[in-house]
Amino acid sequence: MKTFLGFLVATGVTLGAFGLRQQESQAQVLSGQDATQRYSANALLLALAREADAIVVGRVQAANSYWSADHTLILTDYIIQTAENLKGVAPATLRLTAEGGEVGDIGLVVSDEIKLERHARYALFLKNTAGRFTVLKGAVGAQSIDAANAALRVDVQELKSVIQTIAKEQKHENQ
Amino acid sequence: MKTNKLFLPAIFAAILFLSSCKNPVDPPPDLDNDGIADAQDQCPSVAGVSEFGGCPPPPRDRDNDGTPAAQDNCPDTPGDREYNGCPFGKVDVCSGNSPYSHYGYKWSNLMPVFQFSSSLPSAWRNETEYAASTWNAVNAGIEIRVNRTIVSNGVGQDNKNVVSYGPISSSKLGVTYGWYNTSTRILSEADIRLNSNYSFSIGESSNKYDVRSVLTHEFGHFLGLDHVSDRTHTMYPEGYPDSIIYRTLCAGDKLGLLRLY
Repeated sequence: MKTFLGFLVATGVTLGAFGLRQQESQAQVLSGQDATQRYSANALLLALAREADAIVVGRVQAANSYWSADHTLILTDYIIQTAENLKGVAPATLRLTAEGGEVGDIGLVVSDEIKLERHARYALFLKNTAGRFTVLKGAVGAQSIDAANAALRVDVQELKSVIQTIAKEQKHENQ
Repeated sequence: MKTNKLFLPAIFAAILFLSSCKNPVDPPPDLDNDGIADAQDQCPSVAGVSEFGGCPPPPRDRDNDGTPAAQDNCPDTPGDREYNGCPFGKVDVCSGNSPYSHYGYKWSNLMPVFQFSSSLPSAWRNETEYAASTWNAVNAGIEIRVNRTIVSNGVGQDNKNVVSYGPISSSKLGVTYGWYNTSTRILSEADIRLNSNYSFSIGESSNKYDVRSVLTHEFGHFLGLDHVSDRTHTMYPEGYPDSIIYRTLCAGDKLGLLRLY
């Protein structure tokens, strides 16, 4: 039986997410009052920010879903326009592909894959593998700034503060 | 000279008396000068206090985690003050908040049935059923059922809800694949896969992830629940090794299900 204590967040390994969140705004999303609470002094945010090669604020310009070549999965290509680089360097236009999406009357959601709303802004924590950018930790690494239907949200000013903290730590370590 | 005869012994006695008052006996040895005789001092060469047998008092915070040892339930393991000095993941707690989030999709069949894939270790089948029954215990109007017939299917649109075990790229402990009708928002199938790139255990085990905890989280997605940012809740998106805290649900997990069905 669990006891009750204060709210906190921390790091770990990403659990799968079913993620039946539709990409479009007509999705009916019911949320508890705290479900979208912003991260505050958040260890997960710190871990993401430390691990990320680049952190950007970007707006989703396009989301196009299609069947995979073997017709076993639906995939979605996102095109994201970078508005601000908070850490590292990332292309002005990001192209990300994720499992899941909708084609016709069939929808597939794959847990913990990014599910982005068209025209919404996100803070993206990116890993750069030989010039190929992917989102860290799936959905956790794409945190909503103003999406209508998002479980995990981030405040840009808080994020900047976290990044500054990390930069100070690194400077201290290097001295 | 009667007076003289009495005076000299009196002087002698007085000297003896004064002498005995000044040095009644030799002081007991006290090497560390802490006021506790070496014979009674458990730390005779280190100054201490009588409360600790002549030894110095223990550090107020042995693991330097900010929680004084006297209040630290895990005094030698760094932890969080919020969890009485124990690390998160070792203490089964709920925040007191009730966060939940839905995707807006759900089962119309209120008795969805899952099956085991042959790839799932047989020892984990009971754990899988326990994980499903954790949600059933909420009594939300939906009951996950099991068909114990083993199938070779895994992930894929085949009208079977299968729990399997196999490799998944990236850092996910488990994944749930949900198929739904985009018009009705009704789920038609959901498959769960545990990532064989990670080490799992039944119960707490160092550097391993508890199968039941991960599957309890996955079954939350199976039912239509999204993540929350409160790490005390089972629907928090990250898992912890050597921990079983996500086997049990918090208020938001339950409320999310109750509001959905």
